[in-house]
Amino acid sequence: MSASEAERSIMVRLRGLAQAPSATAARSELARIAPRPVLSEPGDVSATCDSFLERAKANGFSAEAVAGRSEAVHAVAAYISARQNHRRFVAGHDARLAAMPWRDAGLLPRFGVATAEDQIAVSYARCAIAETGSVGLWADRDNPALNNLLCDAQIILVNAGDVRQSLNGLWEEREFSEAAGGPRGIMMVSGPSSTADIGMQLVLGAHGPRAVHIILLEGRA
Amino acid sequence: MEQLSRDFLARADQALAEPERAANREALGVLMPELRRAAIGALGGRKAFEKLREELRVVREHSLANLAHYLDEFMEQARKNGSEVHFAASAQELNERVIELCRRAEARRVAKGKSMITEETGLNAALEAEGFAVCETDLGEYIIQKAGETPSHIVGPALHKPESEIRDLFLAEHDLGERELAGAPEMVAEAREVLREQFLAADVGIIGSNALIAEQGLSMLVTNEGNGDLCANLPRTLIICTSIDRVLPRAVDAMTMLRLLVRSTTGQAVSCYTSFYGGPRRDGDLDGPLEVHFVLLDNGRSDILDSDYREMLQCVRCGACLNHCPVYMSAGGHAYGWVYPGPMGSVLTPLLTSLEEAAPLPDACTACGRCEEVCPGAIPLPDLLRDLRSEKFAAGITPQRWRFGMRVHAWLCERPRLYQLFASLAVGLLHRFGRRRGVISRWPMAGGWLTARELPVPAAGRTFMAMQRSARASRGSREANQ
Amino acid sequence: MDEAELPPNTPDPGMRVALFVTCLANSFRPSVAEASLRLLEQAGCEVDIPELQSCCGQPGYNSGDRSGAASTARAVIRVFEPYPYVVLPSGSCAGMLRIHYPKLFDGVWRERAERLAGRVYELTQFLDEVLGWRPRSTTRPEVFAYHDSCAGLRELGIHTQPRQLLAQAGHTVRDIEGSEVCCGFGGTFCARMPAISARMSDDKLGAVERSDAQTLLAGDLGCLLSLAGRARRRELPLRFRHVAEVLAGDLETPAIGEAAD
Repeated sequence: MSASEAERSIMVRLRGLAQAPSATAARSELARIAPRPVLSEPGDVSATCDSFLERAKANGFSAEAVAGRSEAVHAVAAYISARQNHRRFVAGHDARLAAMPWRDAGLLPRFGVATAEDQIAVSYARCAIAETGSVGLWADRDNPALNNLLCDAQIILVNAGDVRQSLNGLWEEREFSEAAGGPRGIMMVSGPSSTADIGMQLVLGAHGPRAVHIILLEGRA
Repeated sequence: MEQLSRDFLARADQALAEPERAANREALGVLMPELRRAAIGALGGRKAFEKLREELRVVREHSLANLAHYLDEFMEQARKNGSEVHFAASAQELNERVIELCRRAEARRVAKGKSMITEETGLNAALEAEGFAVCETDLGEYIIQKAGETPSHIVGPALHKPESEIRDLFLAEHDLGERELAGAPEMVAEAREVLREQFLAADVGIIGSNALIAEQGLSMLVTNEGNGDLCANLPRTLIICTSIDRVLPRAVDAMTMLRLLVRSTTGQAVSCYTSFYGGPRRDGDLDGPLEVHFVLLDNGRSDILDSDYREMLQCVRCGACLNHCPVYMSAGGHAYGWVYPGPMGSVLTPLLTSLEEAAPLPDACTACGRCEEVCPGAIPLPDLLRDLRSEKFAAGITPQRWRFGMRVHAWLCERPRLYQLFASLAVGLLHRFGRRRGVISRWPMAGGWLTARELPVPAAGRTFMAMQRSARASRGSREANQ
Repeated sequence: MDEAELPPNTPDPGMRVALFVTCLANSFRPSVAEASLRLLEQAGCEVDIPELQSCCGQPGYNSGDRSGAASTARAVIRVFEPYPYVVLPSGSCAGMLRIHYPKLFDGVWRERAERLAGRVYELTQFLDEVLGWRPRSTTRPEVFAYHDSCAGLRELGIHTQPRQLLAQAGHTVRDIEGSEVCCGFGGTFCARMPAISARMSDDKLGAVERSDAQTLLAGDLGCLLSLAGRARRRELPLRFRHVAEVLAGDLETPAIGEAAD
C-alpha cells in the first residue's frame, strides 16, 4: 500500500524532529535510560497465588482454589447449578478445556464461540497477575474473545503455575505474529464488567458478565 | 466539535446556576481525591507515585523525542499483524478516512466505544451526514448522544446528568412498556439490553486507544464496561482512532502507564478490561474483525511537539487534573466550550484550536498546583498555563486595561520609592472611606474584586513602610538631640 | 555595578535577616509586618527592612507580563541578595522568589536568582525549621481553623510548621474539610472570574463554619483578604487573621475586614 499524502507529510515533519539519528539509536538510548525490567521475578508460588486470589476477590471476582482438574470440574458444576437449572455452558476449543472430565459432573459443554443466547461461558486463562488480581486471556482460535463478553456469567480457570507476580509477566510470551502462532490479542480481565456512569453508583454487568468466578488449579491432585 | 471557549464565563455562570447538574461533579470532587489517595497509598505512597511517574516521564519524553522512529516501528508491526495504518493531518481528514473505510465495509451501522479523538473531529455528525447509523456504546456517551449533549468530563462524559434526567431520557427514548426504571441498576440493565442489539447489528466498530505499543504493533484499551471489547470483536470491521502521540516503545512501558493511569482515573489498581488488539482474525479464529484499521490523527500535535508545550503530549487522559481542579468543579466541563475541560483542556484547547478562540481558558486557573501534584504524566500544568498567558499578553489578546495595569504596576515596582508613595496615597484614601465599616463595596477600578466580595480596607491609615520611616526619623532626631 | 557579571557572593554571617514585608502587608495589614518583625527579633535575628522594596511581581507574572515580572524580579534581587536570609510573611511571595524567579532568566541573572532563592523563607518555616524557635505560651488560648495557602503548601511544603508553632503557643488548631483545596483567591483570578472565585471561597467558608472555630488563620494575606471580603459580603460571623499576628500575641488589631472600634 502506498503511503497517503497525510502519512508522508506527517512523517517527514516528525523525522525532522526526531532526536536519535536512527531507530536503532533510539532503541539503545531507551535501553540505557529505561532498561527493560525483568518480566517475571522468581517467587514463592503459593504466596503469589494467595495474593492473586486476595486481589481478585477485592476486584469483585468470586474465586476459589482447587487441587486439580477433577475438583475443578466439580467446582464448575457447583457454580453453574447455583445459577441455572440446566448444565450447559459454552467453552472455546482450548485443549485444556477439551481434556477436562466434564461428564464426571454431568456437565454439557458446547465447544465454540459464545452467542447472545449462552448464559455461562467457561474459559481457560493463559496467565494470572498477582499484582492486580487479573487474568490474562488470549484471543485466538481456541479462545474466542466473545466468550469473555457475551454471557451473563463466566468461569475462568487458571493454573497456579501460570500466576505471575507483576503486570510485566503478561508479556512473557512476546511473540504475537501469526507466523509464530501468537494470539491476535490479549484481554486482561480484572473484574466483572462495571459502570458508574449513572449517579456515580457502581453497577455490575454494564455490557459483559455480571459475575465472574475464578478457579485456581493448584495441580496437587 | 464547535469551539465555544470564548463564552467560558457565561457558560460557567450557567453551570453555577444549575446545582442539580453539579451534584455528581461535586461528589466526584470529594470522592476521587480520596480514592486516588487510597490507591496511591496502597502503591507505597507519594514517593512510590513520584518514582513511577518519573519512570513514565522518562519513557514518554523519549518516545515523543523519537516519535518518527516508534511510529515507523508501530506501522511495520501493525501491518505485519494484518492491520492497516492510516494517517490524518486534520479532523476533517480523519472523518473522511473513516467514512471511506465504512463505505468500503459496506456498512450501515456503526458501534462506537468512547473516544475523545472522535469527539475532537466531530466524527459522529460526519458519519450521520453520510447516512450511517452511529451508536455510542459507553454508557455515559450513549446517554449524552441520546440527549444531544456533549461530554462534560473526559472519563465520565455524562457526569452532569442527574439520575432523574437519565430516567426521563430512557422513558422518552426507549420502549419500556410498564417499566419505571427505579434506580441506576435498572437503568444500566435497560441500556445493556438496548446496546446489546446495537453491538450485534453493527457492521463497523470504532474505538479509541490508550496507547500504541510499537514493539508488537498492539493497541491498548482500558475500560470498565467492556463495551470497547464488544466493538472490537463483534463487527466485521474495526477502526481504531487515536493520535500520533500515543506510541510507546514497549509493552512494559504500557504497563507502567497502566499502573498510573487507572489509579489516577478511578482509584482502582487496574480497570476491569485492559485489552490489547493486534489485528484481524487469524486462520481458524471463530470471532474477531475481518479488517482492522488504525487512523492516526495529527491535528496540531506535531506543532505541539515542535513547541515549548511538548510536555502536554505526556498527558494520559486520566482526568485526575479535572477531579482535583477547583475551577473545573465550580465551572463544570461544558464551560470550557470544547472537547477537553479542566486544566489539561485549558492547555490543550488553545494549542489544538487557537489562542484567540480559547482566550479565557489559560486564565481559568488559580495556580493552586493541585493538578500538577496529581498528574501521572508529570506535566507542569500551571507553568504551561502561565506560558499561554504570556503569549496572550504578548499577542495583545489580554484586554488592553489589564495589560496597561500590569505594565504600570511593573514600572512602579522597579521604582520602590514611587511605588511606596502611591501605596501611601491609596492606603490613606481607602482607610478614610472604609474605616467606619472596615470594608468598602465600591471603588474605582476594583469592579472585579467587588463583584462578589467586599474589599477589606487597611486597618491603619498608613503603610508599614511609612510607619517605619517615621519611626526611623524620630529615632534619628532623638539621637541627634542627645 | 556591571550587572552582566555575578556580584560577589559574600552575605553577612550570623542571623542577619532581611524582611520582605510584601505589598499586601505593607498596604493592607501593617500589623502583619510588625508581628513578623517582632517574631524575628524575639527569635534572636538582626532584622533589616530594606527601604527599596515594593512587590515581588506575582500579579504581572501570573497575568502573562513576563518582562514586567522579570524587571520587578531584578529589582528585588538587587535589594535582597546581600542578605544571608530573606524572610516573607507569605507563602506565595516566598514561592515566587524561591521557585519562580529562576524561571524568568538565563545566564548571570539566573544564577543570581538561584542564589537568592536558596536564602528565601516563608516566616513560619524560617522560625520553625531554620531557627528552631518556640513561641511563648499565650495567656489567651483560642481555637483556630487553619487555611493552607496553595503556594505555601505545594511549592514550599508548609503545613506542619504554623500548626506546630500555634500549638506550642497553647492554641488549638482545627483542620477543615478540603484543607488542601484552593480558596479561590488566585491573585488576579478573583477579579477576572469573580463568580467562580466566589463559589470556591464559599466552599472554603462553609468548611470553616462546619468546624468549631470562629477565626480562620492563614499565612497569606491574599487568601485572607479575599475570604474576609467574601464573608463580609455574605455577613458571615467569621474572623480572619494572619498567623504571624497570633504568634506575636497581637489579638488587639481588629480582625481583617472589621472596623476599628
